[in-house]
Amino acid sequence: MSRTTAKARDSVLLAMTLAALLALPAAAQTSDIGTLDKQAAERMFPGKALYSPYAGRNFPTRPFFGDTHLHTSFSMDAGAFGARLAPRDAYVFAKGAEITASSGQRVKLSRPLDFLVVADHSDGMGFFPLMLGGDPKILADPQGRKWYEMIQSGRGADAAIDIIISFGKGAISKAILPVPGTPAYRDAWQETIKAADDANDPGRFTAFIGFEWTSNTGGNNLHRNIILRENGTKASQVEPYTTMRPLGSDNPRDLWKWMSAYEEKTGGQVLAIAHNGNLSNGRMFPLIESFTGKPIDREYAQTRAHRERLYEVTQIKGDGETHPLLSPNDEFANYERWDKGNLDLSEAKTPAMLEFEYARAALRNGLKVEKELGVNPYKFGMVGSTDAHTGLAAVEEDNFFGKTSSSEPSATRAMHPFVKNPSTGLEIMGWETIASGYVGVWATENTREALFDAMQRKEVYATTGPRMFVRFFGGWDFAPSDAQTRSPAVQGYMKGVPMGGDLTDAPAGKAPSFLVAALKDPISANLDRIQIIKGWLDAKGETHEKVYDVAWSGTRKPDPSTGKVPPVGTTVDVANATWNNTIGASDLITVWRDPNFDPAQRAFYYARVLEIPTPRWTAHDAKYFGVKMPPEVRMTGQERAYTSPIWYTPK
Amino acid sequence: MKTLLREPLLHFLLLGVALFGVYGLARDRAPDGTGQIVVTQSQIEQLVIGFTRTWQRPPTPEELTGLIEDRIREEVLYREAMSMGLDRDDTIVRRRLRQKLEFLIPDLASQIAPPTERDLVAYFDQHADKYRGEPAVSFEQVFFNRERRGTPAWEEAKSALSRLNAQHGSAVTPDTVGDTSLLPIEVTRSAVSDVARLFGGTFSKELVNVPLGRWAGPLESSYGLHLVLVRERVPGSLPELAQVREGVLRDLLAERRQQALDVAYAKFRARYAVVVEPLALAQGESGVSQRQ
Repeated sequence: MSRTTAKARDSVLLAMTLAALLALPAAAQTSDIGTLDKQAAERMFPGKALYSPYAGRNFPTRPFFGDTHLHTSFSMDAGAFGARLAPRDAYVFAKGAEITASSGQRVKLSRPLDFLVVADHSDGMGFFPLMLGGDPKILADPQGRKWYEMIQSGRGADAAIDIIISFGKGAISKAILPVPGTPAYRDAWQETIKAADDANDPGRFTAFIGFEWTSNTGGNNLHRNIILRENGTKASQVEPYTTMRPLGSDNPRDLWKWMSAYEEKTGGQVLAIAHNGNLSNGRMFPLIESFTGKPIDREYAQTRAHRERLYEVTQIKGDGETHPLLSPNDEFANYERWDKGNLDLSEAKTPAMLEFEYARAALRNGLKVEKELGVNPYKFGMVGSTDAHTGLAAVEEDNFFGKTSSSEPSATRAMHPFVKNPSTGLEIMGWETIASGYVGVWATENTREALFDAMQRKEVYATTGPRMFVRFFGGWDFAPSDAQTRSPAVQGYMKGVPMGGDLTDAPAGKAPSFLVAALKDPISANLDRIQIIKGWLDAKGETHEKVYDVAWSGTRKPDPSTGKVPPVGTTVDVANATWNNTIGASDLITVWRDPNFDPAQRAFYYARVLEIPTPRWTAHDAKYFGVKMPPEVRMTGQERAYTSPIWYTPK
Repeated sequence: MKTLLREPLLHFLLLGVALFGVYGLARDRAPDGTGQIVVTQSQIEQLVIGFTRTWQRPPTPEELTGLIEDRIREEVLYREAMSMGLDRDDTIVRRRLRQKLEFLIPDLASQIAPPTERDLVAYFDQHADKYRGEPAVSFEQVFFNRERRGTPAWEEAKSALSRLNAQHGSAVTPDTVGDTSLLPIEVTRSAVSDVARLFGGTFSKELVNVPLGRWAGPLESSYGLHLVLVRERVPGSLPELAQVREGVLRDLLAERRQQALDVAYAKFRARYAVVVEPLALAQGESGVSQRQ
């Protein structure tokens, strides 16, 4: 008998048996092979969950850590600041190899990353390697020759500044600037693709093909990183989208069109992640579009929600969760804040801008817009990444290789201005750069497809560097006992939705409950607490937020009047740049139910996990180089993770 | 001095000088009979490319003139040296020529018959072990939180272990002992190095020695204690050909080159009647050692 026939026979038997059972559920059925009673049948065809809790499921069991935003020498500004490592080197380093940094120092990660996106600026991609290599076309141009000779004669820094200024003004000679369509540009993009394809090792390490679209008009940061799901066969059919006209545009709407065109042309998929709203001077999450001066419309909201499902909430140029002026009742809001101005500090910040720059405020405004337009443009998940311009995704506090190659470890790097604008008199010092961050992705396996799909469903969380595990599930039926099972995630997926998911249609009389858990990074600090941040829209159309402490270490008691859990204390020895894990907990888990739920009100919930205080990279620098930091330099911090939210939308 | 006079190099040099003198006196025409040296355009282009690669810029006109002059000088001396037979019995020249031929034969071979898809598949099948990944392991684990249980954690884990392995009576399921944790309770076909990243290096090293099919432990990780049930060890999975295609092609070509070389060498070798004289005792050296 053939296999198919045997299968068919089995199905027929099964169907007959089931039919018999359904017809007479309680009665015993006698046939010529004996009596089939209900108990016996249940043993054969279990109606409830399978005995093995793992059979028939394919949910993620571990997060994969990576960086979606790393620059190499292929980025114009990175090259100018001395980066000599190419995309290929960046992947080798991320995989855990020891290499030589551009500053000549040996460097290695404490542990390999699981994935990396080299996202070099699309404008001028590959210019510096050509310049440094003495490309004949560059040397044939007077401007190119001038810079080349400056670099050759040891005045590289002057050349770099001149190049960056000319680039910013669009004053680089057309003959030498690689733009899409030129052989030089094609070469740079092909090498970017090839480096990723060569480094990609399904199951072990994922190397995504990507680039950064760097819209920066007037110094206002509207940057987006673009990540392709597929390999070079599809990526090679296009060239990156740039911001310079006529080929490119600085308006995100045009970028989204390019994304659609890529998908139509290749049948592939692509996603965009914006970053550094804190340097956009009120333009990152607009209610009024800066390009038109008009309120955002339904099309904008729809396309943005579709194209930009994630936001890079923390990175070297500051943390963008929230701001003390936006969240006055959040005592942890003042974390690694950059609020002096836009990216080049050409315009000072005003408090009115903040609402349109920070993630939490955007999540709140998203609820408001959704009520008006029917679509929430700011329904994004949270990632952290480095934005390092060194080819090195190295953002651990004791292994921080800086923002640019000129800020790789040195005795003076903390006290060099990072940006300085003489016209406004504003400056941001080197010490203000933060060793942050990575993204944790709950994917079923470490492949381009699985990671990309997990990012699209927002099952991701941001960390400021430590690789803690964070779980966050929302549902209607979580009970405290769910936090005590051997594998809480099983309950999480069965009874609720994971981070990035949606709740709706509240059962009568029920408030949403959340299963939330965190496990410390095995080589980093213990955990202080887990908080759940709720934002909601009231009947009057006003948004609100509240931070709840839901799990914490030790026997601390929440303050009866404020409900806040007192600080965990500190074990940091700044002079020696050490701490110990005698306070805090290695893991925290709880089930929390919203005590103030109104089923008529739109809301979002996300978890924030805080580590106990640890020495900041500046403390490690001070210790290693034997230098004294000025009093204003922060030397400690509480590293953290932010999960993607879970949204509640009334039916 | 006596030793110096016996030195073959000296003989060689003297011979060379003599030859040079003889030829130099005997002829004033160029050895190839034409007396013409043509520096072709493509040779000049090669010079420019070589220079640019080294100096990261094209040569100036003066530099180019210099390069061409040098090329002419090289050609003149090369021809004269060849006509004097200086290439003969020169170790470096011999080695270089051998090397050239050894490179040439296999390159020709691989160009004549590029490997077909079938060749690749066959090669991949024959050499499967070369392409295997890292060994992997599948296991289940039960976590014991030392922070919560304190010192008794070890004993409690031990006692749970015997109950997990009990056939009947006191038998328990893994879900009923141990503590909650975010670590995966079931790890399926994970590379040993990945296990190390999740549970720490000590744990993954110990895991290698755990016998299959029985609960064992406790093993220590960065988080606490674990009982483990190792279900299988996989000796490194075989990738799809498509995943390692480039490497397979490279290896196959390398093998082909070696084969081509061996075949060609066998053919060449067959053209010669080789006589190896009986090994004479190394007199000089044994004499030296005797004197000491």
